[in-house]
Amino acid sequence: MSKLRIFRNRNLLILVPIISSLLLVVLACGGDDADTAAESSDAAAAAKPTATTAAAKPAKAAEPKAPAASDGPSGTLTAALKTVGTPIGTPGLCVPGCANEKYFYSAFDTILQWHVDGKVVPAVAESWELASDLSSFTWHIRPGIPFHTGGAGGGGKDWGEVTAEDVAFSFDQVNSNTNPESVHDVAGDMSCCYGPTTVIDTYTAETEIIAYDSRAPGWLMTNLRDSFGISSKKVYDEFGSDGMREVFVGSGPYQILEWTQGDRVVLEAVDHYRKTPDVKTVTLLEVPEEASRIAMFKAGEAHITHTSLPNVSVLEDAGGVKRLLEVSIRHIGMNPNFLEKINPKTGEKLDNPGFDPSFPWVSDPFADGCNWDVLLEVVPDEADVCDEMNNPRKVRRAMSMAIDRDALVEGLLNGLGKPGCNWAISVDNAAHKDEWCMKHDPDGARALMEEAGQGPFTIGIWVGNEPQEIHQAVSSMWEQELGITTEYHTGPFSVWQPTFVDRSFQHLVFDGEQGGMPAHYAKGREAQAWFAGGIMWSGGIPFYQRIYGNMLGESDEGKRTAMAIEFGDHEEFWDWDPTLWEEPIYTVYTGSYMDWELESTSMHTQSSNFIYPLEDITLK
Amino acid sequence: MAKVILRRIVLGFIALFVAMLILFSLSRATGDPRYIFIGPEGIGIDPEVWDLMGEKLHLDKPVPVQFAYWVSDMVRGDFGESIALQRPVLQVIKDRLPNTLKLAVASWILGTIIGVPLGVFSATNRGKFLDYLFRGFALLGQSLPIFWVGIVLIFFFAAQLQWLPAGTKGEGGFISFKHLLLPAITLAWYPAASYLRITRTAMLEVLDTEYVKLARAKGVGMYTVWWKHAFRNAIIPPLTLSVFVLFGLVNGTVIVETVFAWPGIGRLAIEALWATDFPLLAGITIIFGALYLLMILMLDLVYAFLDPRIKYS
Repeated sequence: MSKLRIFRNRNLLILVPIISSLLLVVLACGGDDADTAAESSDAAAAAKPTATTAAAKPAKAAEPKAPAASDGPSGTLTAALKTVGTPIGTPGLCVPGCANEKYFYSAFDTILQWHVDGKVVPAVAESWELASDLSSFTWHIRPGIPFHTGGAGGGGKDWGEVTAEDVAFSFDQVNSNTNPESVHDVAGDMSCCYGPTTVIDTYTAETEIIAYDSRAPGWLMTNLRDSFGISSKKVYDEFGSDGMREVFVGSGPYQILEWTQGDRVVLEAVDHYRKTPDVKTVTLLEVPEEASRIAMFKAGEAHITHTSLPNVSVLEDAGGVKRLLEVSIRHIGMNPNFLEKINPKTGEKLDNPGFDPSFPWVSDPFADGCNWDVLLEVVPDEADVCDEMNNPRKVRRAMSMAIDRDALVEGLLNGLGKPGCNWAISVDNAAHKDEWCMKHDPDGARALMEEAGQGPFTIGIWVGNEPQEIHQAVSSMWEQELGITTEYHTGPFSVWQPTFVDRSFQHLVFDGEQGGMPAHYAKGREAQAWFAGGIMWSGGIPFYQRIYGNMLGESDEGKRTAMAIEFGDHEEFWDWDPTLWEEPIYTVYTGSYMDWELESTSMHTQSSNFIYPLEDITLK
Repeated sequence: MAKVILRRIVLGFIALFVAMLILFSLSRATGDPRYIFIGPEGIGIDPEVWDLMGEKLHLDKPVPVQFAYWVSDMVRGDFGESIALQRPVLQVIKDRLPNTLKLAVASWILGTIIGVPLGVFSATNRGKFLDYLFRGFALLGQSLPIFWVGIVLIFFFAAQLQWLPAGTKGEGGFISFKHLLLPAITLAWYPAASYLRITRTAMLEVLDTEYVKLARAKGVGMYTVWWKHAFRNAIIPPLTLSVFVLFGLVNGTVIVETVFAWPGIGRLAIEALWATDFPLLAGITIIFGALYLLMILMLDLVYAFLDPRIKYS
């Protein structure tokens, strides 16, 4: 009875919830932590005189100690990223798409580095040689690179220096020829071309080449695209495979103090041969929602973040400086042009269950009177191309002509990109030719459709989980100009994957390619028949398959560049993959707090989540 | 009573088994889980690796045998290894569950201490200004999309006023109240509104009964009538709701956890779903299914304790 007396005061009925809420607010604002970057940034700015960081010399990096910031690393930095990835302490545990491995946030080193000028420069290997018969790479390991002693789970032990044994261990871990359980992103690439890596002496290792890949060593041995960090064999031997999910001992400019999946990574600067970082502590937070990342950036809780292109200007208005990560070339794979008959690598016959020439845009080289071999020519004489192949070509061309690329760039990219011309060679590349660019010509498109004897039809597009603006914009242009209606097919990639692999897939795909790749790198990398489980968005194009192999095996860069131009000319004639635009991918940082002059870079359009390399950041 | 509990437990196991069967069937309908290892970049894995993984996941066996393996592993507490994270499922859930529980319990408390008293107050002020005000609060809480509420709160309190952090759970292992507040309020508004409405309805019903009128006629104080006689008799519906709310909060933090970058089980479930990470998704579903059944059982027992009129036979 007495307990209920408090309720006789009517005001208490209102006060109880209000007081409770206020109590929570007071507790919340009580300041249990000082982790907001805004606070730390003020403190750091006040405490830190202008630090100067001399440039490292990656190309001739024989010096055991690189120049460091004048008074050592100091200050803190926070980045809000879409994901912080899956914690792993050795590349052998990497699952496909573990983009975080680039490269464990500057905590692990790659054997070589991709310089910002587009050259391969030394890293863990201070020099390397390619055997004259193209049968092996020899790596000369830089002496005196210590593994981290304070890495999370590493027990504060001295794990010694990086040796040839660690290099061989790391190579063999990711290579599915030497480790059949490897599902690393580079496992498929390695399996085609590389055998075991053997230890010659303490500082020399040799990697066997099974099939020469002309993109090496840039392709898999540097941070350019997918590669792998060098990790310690001793640590692995002590903790085992399972243990390496909680033990992070690398040799990069930062050591990992904490890596909690779905939450954060905390990094601390160490002395490093390449460059001792300027920033002492870096915290990477996983913030999946873009609006939240923008809010954190605006509130000063994060100094670096990523956002979609339309929101870049929002961050710039809040003091952000955009830094170009890579250019993604968006193009349309006109499936199911499954025209390849054999696996060009093995000579085995290929099944193409998805091939269906009843689709108006699918060329049929198997029709009576058609000459399949014209598909192998760089640019065939149109008179040699039968109607069953040529009319669908005209349909594809008309569909490409109906797209107003300038409007797409202006409307969807806020004018930050540019119209694309070839899906593998950027307009900024020296190999680019203006005639590869498709002009917007709706009248010409309609005339071409008429010439092909083709009326309006329905086309299917696989759009992932839901259609994006670009799907909707292109669809409406096709409908408006040519009367082509669109059906969207949704679902995650993993669900559709089997149909890509067995060549039964029958919808168009809007894909992105890395625009920063050198022109002389093999084109058509998604050549379906070359790798296990490989896919190719446009289907199976015979010329792509062959030029891929030819470029891969050609050691002369000039010849490879000439082949790349042939590839562009071939694509211009056939329009297998009409290109839409070149879209810049930015990372944005707080200009008043830091500078970020790059010495090395990485390119990866699959996951614009990289903040590599952190050691190039200096605080103001 | 013991018989009833036993029957409930047996029925619970049957429900769990059916859930497992449905889950397993759906997982096989969505394709081979190994496809997660072939990225959209087109560079696949070797056929030998494919086969090895198939053996490890028992995919080389007929589907009924696969199911038998799976159920047997589950019964032994072996939920397998997450395909995407390459870690034991139980470990992954164990790491993330406390964060979700912290958020859910905080929201539950907040929702209850706001919703229930306001519901009582709304009922006792029927037709007056405050009644409309609180019902308006309930209407907004039940109609505004939760992600929108979260983003608006972030916009005002984090980006504009910069009073509270925009997201993450903060540093350290326990609770950072500063980080907890916005997600808890976002998550609590809907249940607070539900509490308010259901408490109001229950209270109105009881306040109209003869024994309440008699008590008032006998001169018993108004607040005593409300809280001692009326509220106690009106508490069953909100209590029932509270169990569902708590479970709903634990189970339904997906959006709030994503908006506020809260590393909990809801986000984990969504990540597992998109990655076709069947072992992880199955682990989360089964554990939550079991928890749900347990809570329902406990609720039934609490009913009998609170309301002596309820008898089980």
